[in-house]
Amino acid sequence: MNLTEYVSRLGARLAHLPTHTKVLLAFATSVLLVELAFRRFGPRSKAYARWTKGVEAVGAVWTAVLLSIVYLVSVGPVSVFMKLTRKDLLDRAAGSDPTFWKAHEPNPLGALAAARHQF
Amino acid sequence: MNVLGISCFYHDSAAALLRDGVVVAACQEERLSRKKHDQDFPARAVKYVLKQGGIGPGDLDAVGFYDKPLLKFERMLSTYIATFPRSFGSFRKAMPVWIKEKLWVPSIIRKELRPYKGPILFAEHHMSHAASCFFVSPFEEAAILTVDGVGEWATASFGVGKGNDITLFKEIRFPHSLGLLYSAFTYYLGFKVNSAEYKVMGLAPYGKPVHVDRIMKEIVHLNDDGSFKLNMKYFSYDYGLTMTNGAFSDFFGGPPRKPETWMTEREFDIAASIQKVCEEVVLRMARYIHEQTRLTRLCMAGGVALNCVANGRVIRETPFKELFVQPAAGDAGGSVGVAHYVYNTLGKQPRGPAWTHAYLGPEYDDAEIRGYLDGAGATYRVLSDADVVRETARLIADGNVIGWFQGRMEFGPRALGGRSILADPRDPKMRDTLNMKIKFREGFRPFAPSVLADKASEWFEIDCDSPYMLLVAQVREGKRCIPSVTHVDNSARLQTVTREASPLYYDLIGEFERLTGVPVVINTSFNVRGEPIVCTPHDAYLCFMRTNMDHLVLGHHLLEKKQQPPLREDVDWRTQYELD
Repeated sequence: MNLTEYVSRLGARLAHLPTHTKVLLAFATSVLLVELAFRRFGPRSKAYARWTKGVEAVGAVWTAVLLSIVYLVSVGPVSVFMKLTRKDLLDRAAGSDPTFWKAHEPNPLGALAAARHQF
Repeated sequence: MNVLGISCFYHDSAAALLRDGVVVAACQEERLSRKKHDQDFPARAVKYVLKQGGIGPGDLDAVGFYDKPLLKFERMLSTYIATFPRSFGSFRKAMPVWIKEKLWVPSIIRKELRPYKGPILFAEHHMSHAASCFFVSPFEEAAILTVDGVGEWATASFGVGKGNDITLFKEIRFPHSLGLLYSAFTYYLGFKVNSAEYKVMGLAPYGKPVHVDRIMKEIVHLNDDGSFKLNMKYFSYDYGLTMTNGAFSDFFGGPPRKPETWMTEREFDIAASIQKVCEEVVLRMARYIHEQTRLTRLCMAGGVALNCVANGRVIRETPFKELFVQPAAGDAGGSVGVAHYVYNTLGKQPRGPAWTHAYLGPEYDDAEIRGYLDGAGATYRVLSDADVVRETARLIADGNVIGWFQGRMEFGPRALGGRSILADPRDPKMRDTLNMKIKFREGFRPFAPSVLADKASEWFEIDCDSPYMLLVAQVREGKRCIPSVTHVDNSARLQTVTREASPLYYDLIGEFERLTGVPVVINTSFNVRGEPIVCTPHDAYLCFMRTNMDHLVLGHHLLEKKQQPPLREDVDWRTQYELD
């Protein structure tokens, strides 16, 4: 497949996309092009600073939305399960143990091998 | 062999370079970035330590990172699960930082240290603390106690160091944390967490520890062996963005104090109480560790080891005969610790000499200083070493406040005569003058004395050295003619100065003694409130010109305020630093 054929196939595929997808794609492409243009022609301009601030604000909202979903979907069920099984990962229950010191477990990998890992 | 130690991404980022077991340079990022408690990757500090060592990143043999990021991440996820759904706010705030930065530590290090291709090794947080104090201590074998807010899971640990090896025996785990308990009270008293804990310690002597029994009964379940559990009903640091909650406020009869508002007896009493509780926990831990190890020497590190009142009691009231506290006991010291751990323990290399000082930061020679002063249009006199000592001592004795900038900058939170503001401790008004007109900080804050080491026990109730200003002792009854460094309970957080560690500073205090009969000067850090301690001649000159200091001694250059041209600034420096 040559380049012309590839581009025309891509164009045809895009033309068949639903309207809302086309709008989203056009919007994302525009944002990318504006960002690249600012970086190329006015990386220290006030307009770029304002643009960055605006985009970051939008990003913060989206991050919050996505993290909310991740929190509810991943943390929530595990937490419910832990509560049902009465397990407390933080060992918060008041106790009358003679000591609250816990043994320091050496890493089973050995000191040098363990140091190569972040865990 | 060159090993670079790095600590960052929590607070007080730092880098340290170890060459054949000797720390060549160590520096906190905040001193170079001018951002207090800077937590970012210490790119400037790394650049500095490598430059000081005369090498590039490619010449490093190993890089050590001071904690285990994935274990810390596991602790955070466990906490979110355990405190669902209240942890949502914390989750939302922390996750972007983890996803963007903290989970990619090796990649970040590789990127920052191009073309370094060697190993990146990770030590547990408390192992880094333990190594930071033991390997630079003068002890061949010692018990080790580390206590801080939290590392991965551990919040306190103890063990034994022997030769080039450290074994940690036991630990206390999150959320039960003495450091976080103290920080919770710091927050409740209206001070900044991870920054102003020392203010609570300074506030404590003004109050009575009337809440100790209640705290011990309801909030801290303390065993004889120093182990404890916190009643998490009163805290929100495990799930929220604050340290304490409504139950805590109810317990102490009111909401947290608003920052910068008046303090009353209530705040003094609360500070006194938590200080007492903290001391009690540390004392019981130390006694237990002695019982377990039967050793007479103790090394301490971790943020709680900066509590010099507790340290003073450890040396006076436990069976330990000798105590070494890492001068950068907080997270910055982790960079030194992990470098030593990699070199000594993992590399099985013999130990280098013990630290005798903490002057491990940048220094500027006279040519650099003169170049800067000439560029700034400053008026100065150049003095010989002997004249620097004579003139400065005379100026201090005459009641002047002096900015003192000499040699290499200190590593750790204390100014020890490298980047210090010096004044006469005999003047009863000097404390207020320094607090209000020089440092622009709260009036209750005490000042610390530097004393000639050979005169320390004559003036203070202490029979050991305190070279890093990490011990508190009482001023002797017949010597209470130094009101500006004597706290309300007649205590002082002193630095003992030896000629070996700091010859010029030692001579200066000696000359001051010759003039006044007092071998003590006020030594406070060279900065204003919220500002990191000055590092460069430029930082020092700015701080000198912005405050009411009378003279500045930069190396061999003496500047008098009255002779300086007015400082032209584009910004109001009072808004430059966030109050701590």
